[in-house]
Amino acid sequence: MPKPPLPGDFLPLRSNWFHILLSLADNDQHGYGIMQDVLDRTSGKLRLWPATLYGTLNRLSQEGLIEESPHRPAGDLDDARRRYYRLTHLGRRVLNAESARLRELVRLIDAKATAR
Amino acid sequence: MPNSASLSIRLYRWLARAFPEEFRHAFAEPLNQASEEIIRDAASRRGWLGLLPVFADLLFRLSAEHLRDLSADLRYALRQLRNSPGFALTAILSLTIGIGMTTSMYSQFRSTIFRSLPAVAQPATLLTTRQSFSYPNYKALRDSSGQWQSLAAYLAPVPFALGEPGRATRVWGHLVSDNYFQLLGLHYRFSDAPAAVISHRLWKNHFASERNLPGKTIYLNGQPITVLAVAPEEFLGASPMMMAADVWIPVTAQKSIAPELASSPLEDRKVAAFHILGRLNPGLDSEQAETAMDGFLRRQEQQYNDPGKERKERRITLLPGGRLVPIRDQDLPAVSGFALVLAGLMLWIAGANVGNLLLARSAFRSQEIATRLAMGAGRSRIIRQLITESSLIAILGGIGAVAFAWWSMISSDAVLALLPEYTNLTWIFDWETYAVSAAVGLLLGILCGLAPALQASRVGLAPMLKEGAAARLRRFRWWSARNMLVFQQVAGSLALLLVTGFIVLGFARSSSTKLGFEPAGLHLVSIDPLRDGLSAEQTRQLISSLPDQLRLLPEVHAASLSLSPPFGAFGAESVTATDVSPGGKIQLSLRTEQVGAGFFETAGIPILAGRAFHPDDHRRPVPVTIVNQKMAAENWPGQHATGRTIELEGVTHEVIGVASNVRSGFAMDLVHPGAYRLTRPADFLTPGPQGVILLLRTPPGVDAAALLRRHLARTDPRITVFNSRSAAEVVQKMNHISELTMMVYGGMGLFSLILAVIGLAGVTAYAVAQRSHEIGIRVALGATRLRILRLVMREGAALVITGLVTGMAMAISLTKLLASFVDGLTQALAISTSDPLLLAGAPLLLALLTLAACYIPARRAARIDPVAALRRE
Repeated sequence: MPKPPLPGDFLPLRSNWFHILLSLADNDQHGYGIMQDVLDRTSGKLRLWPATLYGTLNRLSQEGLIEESPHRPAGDLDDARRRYYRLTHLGRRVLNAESARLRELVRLIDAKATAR
Repeated sequence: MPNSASLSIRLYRWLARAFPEEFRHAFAEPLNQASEEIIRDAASRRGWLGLLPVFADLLFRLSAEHLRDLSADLRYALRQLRNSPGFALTAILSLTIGIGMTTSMYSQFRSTIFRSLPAVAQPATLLTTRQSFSYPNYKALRDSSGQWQSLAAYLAPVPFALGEPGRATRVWGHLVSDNYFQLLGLHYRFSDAPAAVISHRLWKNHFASERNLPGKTIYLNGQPITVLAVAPEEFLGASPMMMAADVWIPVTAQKSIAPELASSPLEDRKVAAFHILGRLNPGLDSEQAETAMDGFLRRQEQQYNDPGKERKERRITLLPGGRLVPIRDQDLPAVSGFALVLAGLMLWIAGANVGNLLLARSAFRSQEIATRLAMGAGRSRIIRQLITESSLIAILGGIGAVAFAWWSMISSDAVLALLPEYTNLTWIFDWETYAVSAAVGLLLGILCGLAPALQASRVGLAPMLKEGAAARLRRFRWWSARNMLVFQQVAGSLALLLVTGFIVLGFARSSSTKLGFEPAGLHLVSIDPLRDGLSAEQTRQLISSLPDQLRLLPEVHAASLSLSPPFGAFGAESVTATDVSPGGKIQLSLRTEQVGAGFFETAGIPILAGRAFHPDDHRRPVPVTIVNQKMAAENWPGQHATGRTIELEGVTHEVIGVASNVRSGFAMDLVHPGAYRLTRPADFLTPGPQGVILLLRTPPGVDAAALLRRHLARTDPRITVFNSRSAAEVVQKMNHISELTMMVYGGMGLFSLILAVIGLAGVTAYAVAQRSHEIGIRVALGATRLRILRLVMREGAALVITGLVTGMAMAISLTKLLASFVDGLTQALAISTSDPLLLAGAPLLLALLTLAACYIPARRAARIDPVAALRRE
C-alpha cells in the first residue's frame, strides 16, 4: 500500500493549482465559475483556457485535492450539465500549507527590504 | 462573425474528441460548454487572432493527457512484466533471436553479395566473365569482336614483397592492362618507366600517410619502382573482396618485377590466367553479346588449333562485374535463399510464440481486465494497455536483437580467419535490414497483442467477474486461432529442429573424421625467394637443397615442402584426370597437391600401399603420383592402385603409392579423391600465391619460424619468412568453425524446441482454464480423473501429431533445398538425412516434450473440484 500523501509533498504548488484551490476555498464552484473567478482575482492576468482548466481539475481530483460536490445551487441557478467542485480535507491542508509558505517568503523579502 | 465562431466551435468539439476516453467521459460536456462561451467572446472581440490561444491550449493539453496515459500504461506494463519474469523473458528472447538472426544473416549478405564495388565509377554497367582468358585471347576480344566499349584485363591475386630486401613485408596486388584504371573511373596513366599505384590503406598503414609519396621510389620484389599515385579511400581494385589489391603495376612492366611476368604470359595462348572486366557498347544486350563472343572465341580456337577446341561448354559467360561477388541477378535467390528461409522461419516461430504466450496470458488476465472494465476503464484504454505491453516486449526484443546480431557477426569473424589473406571480407552491420526486421518484429508483437486484447476486452462483464471463464460451453474447434497457432508452431519447430539437427550431425561427423596426419610438432612456414629478389638459378638451388639442410639441424626431425598449403580448405587445385591404364578409361575429378620428397613422413600421413616419393623420382621418364585412399577406393575398388597410369592435366603419371585420407579443411567438406605430385625444381620458379611452404617437424617448444630465419640469415639475408603457423593452429581453426556452426544451428534447434514446449504448455493451460467450468460439470456427472486427463490430452495430441507430420514434410523439402544450394553440405547431409536416430528421435522428442507440456495443465484439469468450479456460477 502506498502511503497517504502529505500536504508537503505538493509544495511548492503550481500557480494554476493554487489559484483553483483558492477559488474553491470559500464556496463550491463549477469549472467556468473558477475560470471567471481566477480572471477577476488576477485582474485578467491569469486566464485558465478551457482545456487547461479541465485538465488541471482532472489532475487535482486524481490527486485527491478536490472532489465533485453533491450540493448544487437551488432552482434556475443550476445548470444540469455543470459539475461543481469542492476542496477535500487534503486539498484544504495543501492550500493552507502553500499559503503559509508564500507568507513566509513575503516575510523574508520584507525583512530584507527593511534591513536595507 | 457568427459563422466563423460556430465553425470554430465545431472544430474545437471535433478536436476535443481526441482526448483519452476517461477524460472525455468526465469533462467533454463542461469543456465544450466553456469553450463555446470563450470562443464566442474571443471571436467577437479580437477576431480569429483571439482564437489562437484557445486552440493552442487545446492541442497542448491533448498531447499532455495522452503522454500521461502512455507513461501510466508503460509503468503498468513494466510492472506486469516484472510480475511474470518467465513470460517476459521468453517473449523477449523469442523476438531477440528471431530479429537478431534475420538481421545478422541479411547483413552478411548485404555486406557481401549484394554490395557494389566501392569507389568505382558506374558499377552497374561493369561486366566480367566466369572464365579467365589468356592475354592474346583478351586482346582479340577487346579489339575485334566489336562488342566492348572498353575491356580491361588483370592478373590476381599477385603477391609482392614490399620494402627493401631482407626487411620486406608481403602484400597483394593486381597486374593490370593499361586501361584498367580508366575503366574503373580513375585517370592514372602508366608511362614506360616502372611505376605502381598503391591503395589508400597501404599508404596509410605502411607509409604513415606520407604526403609526398607519389613520385618517390619504393621496393617491390626487390626492385625499385616509382609510386604513380595513391588510390582513393576504399578502392581495392576490381575484385575487392575475393582478391583485394594494395598494389597495381602494369602487365607491361619489365619481367624482373614479378615472377608472374617472367614466363611471358602476354604472348602465351595456353595460360588462361587473366580476369577480364569491361563495359559493352551502348545498346548491346548482354545475351546477344555473349553469343557473339562465344562464336568469336570458338573461331579463334579453330584458327590457332587450340587443344580444347572441341569442348562443348560455353566459352564465355557474362556476369555483373560491379558487384563484390559476380553473381547474376537470377542466381541471387539461390545463393541467399536458404539462409534467409531459415532466418524467416525463426522470425515466424518467434512471432507465433509471442502471440501464443500473449493469448494464453490474456486468458489468465481476463478477470483483471473485467475488473478494470467494471471500474470504468474504457475498452479502448484496455486495448491500448495490452498493446502497450506487447509493444514493450517487442521493443525490448528489438534492443536485444541489435546485441545479438552484433555478437553473431563478431563470432562469424572466425570464418574470416580461415580465408586466404588476399581476401578482404568485412561484415557491415546493416541498419536498414535491422529496421525492416525490427519493424516486422514490432508489427508481429503489436498484432499478436491486438488479437487477444480485442478478445479479452469483448468479454461480458458479469460472467467474467463470477470467474466462470466460459459461460457458454464451447466445443473443440479445429480451426480456431489458438489451434492454428499451436499447429503451425509444432510444424515450424519440428522443421527447424530437423534441419538444424541434420546440419549439426553432419558437422559432428565431419569433425570427428580422422585428421589423417599428425599435427603435434608440425609447423608450416612460407618463403618466396624469387620475390625477395633472388635470381631464378639461386632460387632453384636454395629451395632444392633447403629440406636436406634443415634435416641436418638437431632441432628438426623431418622437413619437406609443398607448393600449396596442405590441410587447408583452399590449397588443393581441382583437375580432371583420365585413367589410361589397361581396362580403365574413367574421367576422374580430383584435387591435386604438389609436394616435395619426404612430405608424407614429415606430415605423418601413412602410406597404405606402394611407397612414398623418393628425391630422385623427378628424374624418372614417367612422372609419378601418389593417390589417396578415397581415390583408390572410388575408382579401383578391390584392386591394386599401384602400377596404374593416369593422365593428370594431359601428362601421364604412374601411380606408385596410396596415401591415407587427409581431412581437407572446410567444415563439412569431408574427403575428396586426390592425387599428390612431386615438385620439380622448375616448379619453384612459378610459385603460387602462398609461395613455397616448408613443413618442419620439431620437438615441442621449438619456434620453427625463428629457426628457419636463423638458418636463412646464414644462407641469404634477403629472404623473408612469412605466414608461420603450427599445424595444430590450422586444425584448431578448422574445428572452431565446425564448433561455431554446430553451436549456432544447435542453438537454433534447441531454441525452437523450447519455444514449442512453452507455446504448447501455455495454450493448453489456457484451454484448461477456459474449460474449467465444463470440466467441473463432467466431474460432477461422474467422469473419472483418467477420462478428464484423456479428454484434455487427446486434443493436444491431435494437434501435435498433425503438426509433426507437416513439420516432417517441411524439413525434408527444406533439406533438399539446402543440399542443392550449398555444395559442401551435400556430402554431410547425405549421411545425416538418412540418420534413423534423428528422423525418429527429433519428432519423438518434440512429441514427448509437448505432450508433457499438455500433461501438466491436463492434470490440473483432472483435479478440478467440481463444487468449486460450479459454485462460480
